Amino acid sequence: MTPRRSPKDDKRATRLAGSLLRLLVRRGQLIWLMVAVAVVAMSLISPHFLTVENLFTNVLRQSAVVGIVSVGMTLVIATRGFDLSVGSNIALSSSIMALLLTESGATVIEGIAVALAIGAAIGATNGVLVAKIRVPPFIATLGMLSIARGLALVFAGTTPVDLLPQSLLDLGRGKVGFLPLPVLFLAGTWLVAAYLVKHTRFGRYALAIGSNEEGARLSGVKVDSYRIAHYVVLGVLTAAAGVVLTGRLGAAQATMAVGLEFQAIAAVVVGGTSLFGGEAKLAGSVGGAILVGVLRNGLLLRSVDTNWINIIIGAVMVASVAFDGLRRIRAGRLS
Amino acid sequence: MASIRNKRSTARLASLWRGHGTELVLLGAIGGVLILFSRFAPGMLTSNNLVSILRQMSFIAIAGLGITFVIISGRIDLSVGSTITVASTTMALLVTRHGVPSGVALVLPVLIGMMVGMINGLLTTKARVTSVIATLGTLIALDGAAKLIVGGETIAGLPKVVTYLGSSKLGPVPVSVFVMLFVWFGAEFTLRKTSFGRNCYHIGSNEQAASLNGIAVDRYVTWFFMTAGALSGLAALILVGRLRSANVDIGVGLELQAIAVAVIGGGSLFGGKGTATGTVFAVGLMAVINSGMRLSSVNVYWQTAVTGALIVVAVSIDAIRRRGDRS
Repeated sequence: MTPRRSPKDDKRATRLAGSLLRLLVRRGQLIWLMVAVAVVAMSLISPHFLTVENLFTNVLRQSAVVGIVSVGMTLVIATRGFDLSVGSNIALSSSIMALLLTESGATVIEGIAVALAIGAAIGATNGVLVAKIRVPPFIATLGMLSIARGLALVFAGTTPVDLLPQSLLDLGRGKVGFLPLPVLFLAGTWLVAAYLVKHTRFGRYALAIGSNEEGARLSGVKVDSYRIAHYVVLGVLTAAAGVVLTGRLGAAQATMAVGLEFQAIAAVVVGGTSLFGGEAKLAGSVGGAILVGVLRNGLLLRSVDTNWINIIIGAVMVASVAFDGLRRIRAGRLS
Repeated sequence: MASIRNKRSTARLASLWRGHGTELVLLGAIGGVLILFSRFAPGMLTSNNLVSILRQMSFIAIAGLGITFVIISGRIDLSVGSTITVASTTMALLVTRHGVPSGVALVLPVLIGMMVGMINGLLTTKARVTSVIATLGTLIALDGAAKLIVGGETIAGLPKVVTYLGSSKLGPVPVSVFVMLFVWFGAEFTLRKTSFGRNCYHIGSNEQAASLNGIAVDRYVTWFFMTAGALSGLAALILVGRLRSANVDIGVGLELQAIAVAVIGGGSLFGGKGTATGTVFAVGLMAVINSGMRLSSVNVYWQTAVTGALIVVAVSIDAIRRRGDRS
């Protein structure tokens, strides 16, 4: 006869699980538990999900673009900002790059430089509108969403621009060993951003501005300039992610990356960074991007309708924001 | 004697300017754009074109007036476009395939809109999700729902009763224009003369004070979202009538236009400001610009960029003016 578990053991196990959960929540690492649960769930519903091939070449490669954007987005959200224009930024910068490469005979380096410059310009405009003119970030970047998408359509029409040079395609499709190149880019961006947040003024001030702007200003922080710089960095990272995306897809198009802003913001929010500013959970954002990628890929393999996938991701996002609100109410920081 | 009369009329003009600056600027801009484009595009000032501009305006104005309530109260609603999509496709599907009587179909979009508004309201007031995120969530959910319900097809063959509001005319003027006027005056009256409207401004300009004064903030905010939803439903009905069909792309991007007109018309995203008349004039300005660009055969995609630029300019002016007020 097998020994029966006593109720005491059960209680102890529950308590252990409870304190583990609390630890994860407190350290902001709940996201990895969520990723693990999602991976298990996806491999249960789809037999093709849990293969090395699928995880590395598809899930991680696809998550990388959103991941790079969400690392930048984390910095901006940490300052209590917001950016809805990232999807349009990719469309404008990448399609102009592709046009330069195919029609004006520019070199790949020149093309990428122009794309990054466009990203920087979009970021700078957002930053000036938010920091200097004091337009709410949400509406400034909503306007920019429309401007950049419109310009992309004016310049490139709706047909994809393909026949791009191989070296550009390699940026999205290449591999080093078994790791896809985009994943390495994501890792690099993450590490640099983590260093910036921990050890530089640029990063520390982002948190200071987000948690108490007036306090930061009174302590002599040049709030406006740093704010603009954060938006510029996000703009450049977004354009870079666009280059990688163009390489992966093999073409750029004025209608590409529609709704990418939503995925990036979802990744940041699900990763535990608060929309109220003052926090930058970079690991959480990367985990969030991977979670979004896992859900998308796994559900697609199960041939779930894309719309249902969006609904599920949207629900996860709204739940995370509600969770954050409740956490703040309990911490007494929000009346 | 004459000089006193002069002074009095100057004072009256000054107070008109102070109270209705935005509206006057917009009216001037509409006139300016009309004259400017009439030089490039001879078809601009014909009565045919002016009627078509008014008809273009109608559904955006109605949706924009709804969102004006939400914006005055210091919130935002991103789900307008997808509410229109869901309301129109569901109604079209039910009336053509499932034998729902046309009379019911007429109120269905408004009811669906109110339901969406209630969900938005409850999410922001009870679950305390920021309105941007809450309505972004409903946007995605509704867009998905519409695609699941109708898929890629276009539903046509709607009964006359349903398309009446969107496609019939009374004399030379489309019925939808009368609906717009009716909603405009209704909104203007509500905002100025009723406690519902005044509380909207109170909540938007100082929520805490409003709450301390015994205004049931949560309940009112939910009603503002429901107003926006209901008017989105009405806009959907007109849009379906005009197109005589519905599909899942019908409302795409309309939220941006609706927010744009409320803000260009003097609504402040910080809450507490905005008027019905300003919103309608802003719709007029956008419609005149779009019509002019179309007639002078500018690349249609400029419209998207110009809409965005107008939003940015209007909001910047609002922000700068606000800073002036404070100092």
